[in-house]
Amino acid sequence: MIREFALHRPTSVDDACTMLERGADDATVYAGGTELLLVLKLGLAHYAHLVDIKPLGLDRVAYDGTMRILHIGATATHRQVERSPAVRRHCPILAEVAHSIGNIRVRATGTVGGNLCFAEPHSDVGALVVLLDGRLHVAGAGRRRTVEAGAFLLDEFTNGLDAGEMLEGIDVPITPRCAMAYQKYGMLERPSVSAGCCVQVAEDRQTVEGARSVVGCVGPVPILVGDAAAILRDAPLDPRCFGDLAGEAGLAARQACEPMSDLHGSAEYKRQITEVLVARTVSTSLERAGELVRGA
Amino acid sequence: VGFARESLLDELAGRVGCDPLDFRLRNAWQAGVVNCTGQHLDAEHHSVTIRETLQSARAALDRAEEWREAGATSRHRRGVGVASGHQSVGGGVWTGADTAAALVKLNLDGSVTVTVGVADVGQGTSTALRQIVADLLRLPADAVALSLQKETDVVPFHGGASASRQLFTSGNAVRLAAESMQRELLRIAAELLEADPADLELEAGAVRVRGTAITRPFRELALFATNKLGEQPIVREAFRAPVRMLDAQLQGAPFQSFDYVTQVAEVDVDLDTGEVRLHRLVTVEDVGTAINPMIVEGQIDGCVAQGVGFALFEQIHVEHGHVLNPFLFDYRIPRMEDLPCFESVILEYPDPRGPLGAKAAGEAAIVPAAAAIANAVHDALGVRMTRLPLSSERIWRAMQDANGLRPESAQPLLSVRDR
Repeated sequence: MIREFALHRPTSVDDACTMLERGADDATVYAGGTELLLVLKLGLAHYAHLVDIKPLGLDRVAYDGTMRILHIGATATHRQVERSPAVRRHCPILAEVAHSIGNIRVRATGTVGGNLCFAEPHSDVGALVVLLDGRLHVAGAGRRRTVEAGAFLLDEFTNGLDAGEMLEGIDVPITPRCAMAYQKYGMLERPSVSAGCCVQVAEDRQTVEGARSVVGCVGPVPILVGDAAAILRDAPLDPRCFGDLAGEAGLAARQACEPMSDLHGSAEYKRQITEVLVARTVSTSLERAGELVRGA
Repeated sequence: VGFARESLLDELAGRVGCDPLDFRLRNAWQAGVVNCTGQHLDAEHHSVTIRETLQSARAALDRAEEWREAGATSRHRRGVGVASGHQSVGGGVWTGADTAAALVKLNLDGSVTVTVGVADVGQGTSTALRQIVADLLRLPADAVALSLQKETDVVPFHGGASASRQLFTSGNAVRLAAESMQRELLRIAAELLEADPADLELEAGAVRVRGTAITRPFRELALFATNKLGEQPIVREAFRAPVRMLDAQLQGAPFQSFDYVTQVAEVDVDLDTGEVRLHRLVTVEDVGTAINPMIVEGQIDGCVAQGVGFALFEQIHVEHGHVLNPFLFDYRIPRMEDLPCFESVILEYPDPRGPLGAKAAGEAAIVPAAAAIANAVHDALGVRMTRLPLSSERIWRAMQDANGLRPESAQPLLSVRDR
């Protein structure tokens, strides 16, 4: 049973932030509600004031060609991202992953911004936005700041918002000649282990210029596997090498991750799955990079 | 028990170098067998058809073996498994009697209303019961209404929707009541037509004088009985199943009938993760007469889904008496994407004591599912899984043990090495 609360309808972002500031610990943002209502229903949290930010028009999903930035407003739903032609064109992995989140009802209601703010360790969105090096626009009453995704997800269920702040939107930089892959593996409702990889092809189209590899779900926050990225950097874009590169990157991830045993599985098994998923996402990204080069 | 028995049978078949289906076929029950409670399953009263389900599953097994040969890769192994089972029909173990009653009332418009205590929570019993009455009274199904009041003050006792017993027990009660109503209709028509009941017969919604064109619709019979004879036709019958409770030595005949089923599972195991993907699961089940084949198929599909959950996912984690996964959030049940192609082959060997020959369909196909899947995993990997669920971690560990690999040895993955 949800305890009584007051629902506030702000008219601007500053207005919303003022409300949040006034409510302090007793107030929170209400967007899609797919996480919040569950938590309230289970009695895990209670807020006397919910600030509904859906009417603020923050659901824009658009690509800025000059800045090469894909903007996702804080209240854009997973479904919007999944269906957006701009996302599909400029960052297809986002659409692909959005399509795999929860079920159609969750996707139609749940927001990308809300997912990030909830900082659930088993979130696909968190891991993906870290992989994509997303920039988060944080608003307070009369002030704005930008935070890197990695610095926003502080700990499990802990985001980087200060009192009186809310997430306004996410900017995803779109880098040319990038190929990506994301995979998850789940024993329960949410993924138990996830991994993503992004490979940027060098201008000579023969080698990998840079790469990022992310592991989600196994720790409190997604981690970037620097050693895996280092293995891929400057590697030849030659299918004969892909298997070894993927294997080595997988091993690097196995060593970099620090899983804990829980209902999702033992630490040992999670290490195994981490290695497998990192190897597979690296392999798929390299293959996709190869296609990219051949297709161009 | 089904999982243990069918896993052991598979192991035995392997040890003696016999095809697992042939091995079962050689040892399966036949009519005339005396089971472990001393119940004699004689051909006059029982339809014992486990062999028929096995024989009919042969084609599915052959196809499964072709599928297996077509698709092994360095990262995946395919396997096929077979398992059989049976499910008792009826619940006379604890209550002392397995019984249900039914009322059938002839309405003034010639339709009938059946009142039973059945709690239909989606299994379709209410539809099947209407079909039984409609069939016996030669009425279209929509002329038979079922009063589904859940008030025990109003409906007769039915003993509960459990133990695959409602179609058999309430079905027989409804059958008896419908047969009683047949006699009632003939008696009324005999009075109206001043004829001998033996010269009358039922036809679609009417009684006819044999060999003539003289008919009287039920509506006319209902009006005549109510207005002229002063008694609206209402009959009530109870069915008491011919069961004998277990004695102190666990001997007796507590069950009215048994459903027999054989399943063939096709699995694909991921060698890196231990994940089992169920590709196809074929169920061959003898349900006696399938009163409503669509419902039977739905019941079998539901059984398979539950069997898959039992086999691969469902597990309650308890620590110091505290359930760690009390919500569906952490208690994994199968999702649509986990479920394979369902195929069901419905065999119809009429049960001598079932209503219109029907048995049941609500549970039997759950019984062998886990064993069929585990046997398929064994076929794929050569690893015998002895605990459920067959979680991917358990299978991965079993593979590690079988290969003599230390899990933390950080060896390159098969997937990588084999490229």
